[in-house]
Amino acid sequence: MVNEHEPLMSGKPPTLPVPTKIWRPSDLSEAWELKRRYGSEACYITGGTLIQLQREQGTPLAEHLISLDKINVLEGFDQLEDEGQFKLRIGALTTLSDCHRNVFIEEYWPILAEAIRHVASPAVRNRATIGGNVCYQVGDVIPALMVLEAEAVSFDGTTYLRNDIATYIQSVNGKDHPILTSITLPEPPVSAQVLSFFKKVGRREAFIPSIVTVACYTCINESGEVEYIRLAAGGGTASPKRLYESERFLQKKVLVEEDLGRLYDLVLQEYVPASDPFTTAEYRKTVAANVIVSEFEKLIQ
Amino acid sequence: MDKSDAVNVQTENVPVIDLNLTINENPVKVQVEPTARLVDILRDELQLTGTKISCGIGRCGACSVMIDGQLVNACLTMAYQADQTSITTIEGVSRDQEMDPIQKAFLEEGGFQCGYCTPGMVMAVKVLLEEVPVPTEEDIKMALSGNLCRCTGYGGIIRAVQRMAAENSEVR
Ligand SMILES: Cc1cc2nc3c(=O)[nH]c(=O)nc-3n(C[C@H](O)[C@H](O)[C@H](O)COP(=O)(O)OP(=O)(O)OC[C@H]3O[C@@H](n4cnc5c(N)ncnc54)[C@H](O)[C@@H]3O)c2cc1C
Ligand code: FES
Ligand code: FES
Repeated sequence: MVNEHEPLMSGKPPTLPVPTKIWRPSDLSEAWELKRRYGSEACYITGGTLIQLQREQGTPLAEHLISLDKINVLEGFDQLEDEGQFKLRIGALTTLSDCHRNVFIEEYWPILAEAIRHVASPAVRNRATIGGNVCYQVGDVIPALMVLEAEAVSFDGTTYLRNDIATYIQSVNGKDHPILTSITLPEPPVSAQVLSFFKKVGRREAFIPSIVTVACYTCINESGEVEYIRLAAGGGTASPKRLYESERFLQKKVLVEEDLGRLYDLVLQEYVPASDPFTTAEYRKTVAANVIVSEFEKLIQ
Repeated sequence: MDKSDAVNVQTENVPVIDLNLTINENPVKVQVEPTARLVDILRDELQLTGTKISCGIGRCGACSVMIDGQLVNACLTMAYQADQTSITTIEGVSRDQEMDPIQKAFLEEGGFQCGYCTPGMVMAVKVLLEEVPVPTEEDIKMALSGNLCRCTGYGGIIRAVQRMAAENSEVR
């Protein structure tokens, strides 16, 4: 509140916000150099949907925005073959809408398509990139990419690094985080039966931040035994994580009713979400455990 | 010249850019800050006030316009991102003083009350029907999931789109 007795202006002139400069480098080395030159005063930008949202919520724009949108190598899809295995490379600049429309993603990686469908609205997805969603660190597509064993390819100024998604996301916290250049999806394993799902729980049916997101890819062999499982959960402000203990518990099991209770307890133990003014961590844990158990219950029925 | 200076879109002291757009099929040039929001350029610089502003954060769809045929939120789009694009706003939807059939359907099916969400809704429906001329109810709900209406309860809006879908399926 303004105190009437204090002068409104002190001796020092007020600091005006510095106008933001936009840079549009045409290659990765140049983008990297710009970031090194301006350090913490610079920020990469792709679709800009998150940056614009944060700006409206009170986070000032960086003094230097380094737009990656003119770097052609970051765009589009490439079908790759690696030791007889089909892979899809998705450039980091590819919009979520283009990913959603991609016929290969629809056929081979439907849970990624499902995860994308749950991000924001069609208009936002027309601008939002898959790279921006990963670099957001809490993006809804992350759990799906984790269970699909997607690889993040990034550029650190000299070399291209290949990491799993969780390792790349951690690196985003660093001062000079590598530029995400692409995501590679390996063909998922097949077996007698596959249980795969992506679930997002929010306070409304659509277009709402997640309370919990869960993704799973499980292969069950002819004897009904779980022979491959990847399970991940996210939601809220905590970065999604693989649920390794729960995976280990389910591995090699022919599931019976009694296992579901143990699975429920394991999820409660190892899933560590954050609380916010709307949702406690305890509530998120309960939701995640319920969603996962109800999906695995289908295997028994 | 320093290599990176070649890619900076503004000069050192003048924080504005020349923005070249095609708006509703007319070429337009404006000088604006590169981070200005497209919605403000449309409404304040170009007096195209049919595009509305409400939440300012991509949540309500009142500011929906088409950029190069795609639906986007003008409040989330910065000036430099719109440079050299072709934009359609609600003012460009009607032709020769004739309402677009989508606007007529909204009028006749009770697709609006206060009308604040309507320009954005019409833009979203236009994009939907160009992609899927005969959408299902599921398609309609998905396409309009980013457009909020505080008045109608959506019934009239969905009816308006279904009416368009029925007309489109007869034509086919
Ligand atoms: C209305 C609204 C609703 C939303 N709903 C959801 C939702 O339901 N689920 C969800 O997950 N997200 C949601 N978001 C957040 C956001 O829009 C998405 O996560 C989107 O995918 C971000 O992509 P972008 O290209 O717009 O990122 P930008 O805003 O351009 O960038 C996001 C961050 O990533 C960094 N970055 C971007 N690309 C790279 C790269 N290649 N290398 C290194 N750093 C990079 C930027 O520096 C920045 O810090 C929503 C946003 C809005 C405005
Ligand atoms: S004003 Fe742009 S989406 Fe609400
Ligand atoms: S008619 Fe009033 S907000 Fe939709």
